[in-house]
Amino acid sequence: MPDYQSLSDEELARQSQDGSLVAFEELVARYERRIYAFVFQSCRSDVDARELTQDTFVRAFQALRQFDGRHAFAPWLFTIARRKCVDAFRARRVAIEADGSDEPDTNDPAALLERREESENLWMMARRTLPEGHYQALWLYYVEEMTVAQVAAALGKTQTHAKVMLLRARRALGKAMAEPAAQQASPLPKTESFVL
Amino acid sequence: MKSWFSKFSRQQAEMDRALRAKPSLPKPDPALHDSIMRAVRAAQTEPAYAERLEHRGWMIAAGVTACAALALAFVVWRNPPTPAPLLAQTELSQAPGAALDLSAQMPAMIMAPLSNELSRVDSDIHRTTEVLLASFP
Repeated sequence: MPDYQSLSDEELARQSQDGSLVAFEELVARYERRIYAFVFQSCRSDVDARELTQDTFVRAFQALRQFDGRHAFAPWLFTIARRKCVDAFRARRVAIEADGSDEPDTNDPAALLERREESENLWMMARRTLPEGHYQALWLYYVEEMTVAQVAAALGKTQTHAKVMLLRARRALGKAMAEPAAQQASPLPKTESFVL
Repeated sequence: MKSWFSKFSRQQAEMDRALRAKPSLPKPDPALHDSIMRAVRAAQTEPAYAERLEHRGWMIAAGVTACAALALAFVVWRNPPTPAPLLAQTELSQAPGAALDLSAQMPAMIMAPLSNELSRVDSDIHRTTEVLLASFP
């Protein structure tokens, strides 16, 4: 019985490719919280985030044959998670367009209070002010501690593009911090620019 | 220029430091793990079905593409391109007038593409600056 906890992600992925469900379960244990946190940033709903996390792992399991063990496992898994977020965002947009009743109440005291609290938190401000792609680039780089090359791979961009996205995100965030009043007037996250 | 660059570099370093302070990650429901593994086991039992669906999708796409190509070939075969009509006598007589009109419009016609080009150059410079700044360690 191999000690799965001591194996690298890539080795676990290789064993999963060979049909080991125990190896895949170890990968799930290592990544479920990280993937949940990543997708939660996009959908801001516990139920949706759980569903997207589950879908991500099911898709990863089904697509394991396509994983190239010479590359890192994390960017590959986060690529799947990002695509799941894009699909969910598109489906939600279609539902909102069909329904037309999902407009937030910008004068709601609870929402105003929430916005004030959020402005004190850099990451929440980033979530509110940055386009989805830029926010994800920041998240993968700083929270997941990926290299620029890995961020680029996860986002499906070139390394130069990923660097520029990070630069734009930092500059936009710096600008937003300098203008807190302007941010208060922006009630919605910029999810319309999900796909760059 | 030097002060601008040092200010930029200081701001970037500050932002970098601030972002490295990680946010508290939201905790998923402890039941999530079991739920994922149940879904994975369910998916494991029906891989052939998913593959069949994928295969069928490719077959449909190939069929649609072939039909479109055949339809295009048929349209081209039925309507071969007609040669350009010879310049009519009346059009020849209107040529000097048209040339005069053209000369009157010349500055706008020349300037419009040039101004487009200038804005493109401007945008290129802006992007190049961003790429250079992004490469800054």
